[in-house]
Amino acid sequence: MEVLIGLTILGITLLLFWQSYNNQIQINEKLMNAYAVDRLGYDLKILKEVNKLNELSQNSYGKITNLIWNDAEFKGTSLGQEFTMKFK
Amino acid sequence: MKKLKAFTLIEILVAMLVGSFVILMATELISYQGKSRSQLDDKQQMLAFEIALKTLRGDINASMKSADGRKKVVWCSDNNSSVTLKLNKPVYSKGLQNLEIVTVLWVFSDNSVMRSINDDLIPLNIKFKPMTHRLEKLQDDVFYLKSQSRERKFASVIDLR
Repeated sequence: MEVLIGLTILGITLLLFWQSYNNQIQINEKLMNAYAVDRLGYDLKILKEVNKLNELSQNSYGKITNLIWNDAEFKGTSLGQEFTMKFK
Repeated sequence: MKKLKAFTLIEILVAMLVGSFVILMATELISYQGKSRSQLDDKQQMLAFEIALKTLRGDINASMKSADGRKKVVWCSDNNSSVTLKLNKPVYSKGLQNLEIVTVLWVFSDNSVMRSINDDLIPLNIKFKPMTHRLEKLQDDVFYLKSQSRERKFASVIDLR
């Protein structure tokens, strides 16, 4: 009985430890994407100013996909969520 | 006849089963933990790189300008593997209670990014897995800093106008 209780406590501890790792990985991923969106916004603004939007390296901004833009705004998908940013 | 105290065959088999299950679970967990650790380290390194790029943008935007209005940033790109940027920017000094001009040096090398202010002895140094860095010129005073590791690519516009 004591052994079973000990094993259960060990199991719960390992599970919590493992879950904290996964949560940290997810938070890092979200933070990275937030920074990538910010970087993309800044870069697109300058690339638009210098008429070099076609030079945009689309696969260099984390997990941002489905990038489309026009003169007024650009849209993309980051971690499954669509976002829109307007050019000032 | 005196009865001997001992485990029955069933008890021993159950104990062995439980023991082997525990050992199996423990080895799986340790192996998974190792993978998670490495994955977490990678993500943390990439996050640190993102923060470094944002800090670089801030430094460049705050850099001193020359008489013609262009930012005074000295850059050097070497063999498609490292990039160096040097600039001066004003910072508020709490001790002196006024603005002072500091020299900021950025070195993107194959396994680290270093940012030092006024040649300080302990610069900010972020270690990475091997990465290559290169500066592509988009037009006068506008560059594209492209960094690439085995897994990820980064790009950031460097605007020196």
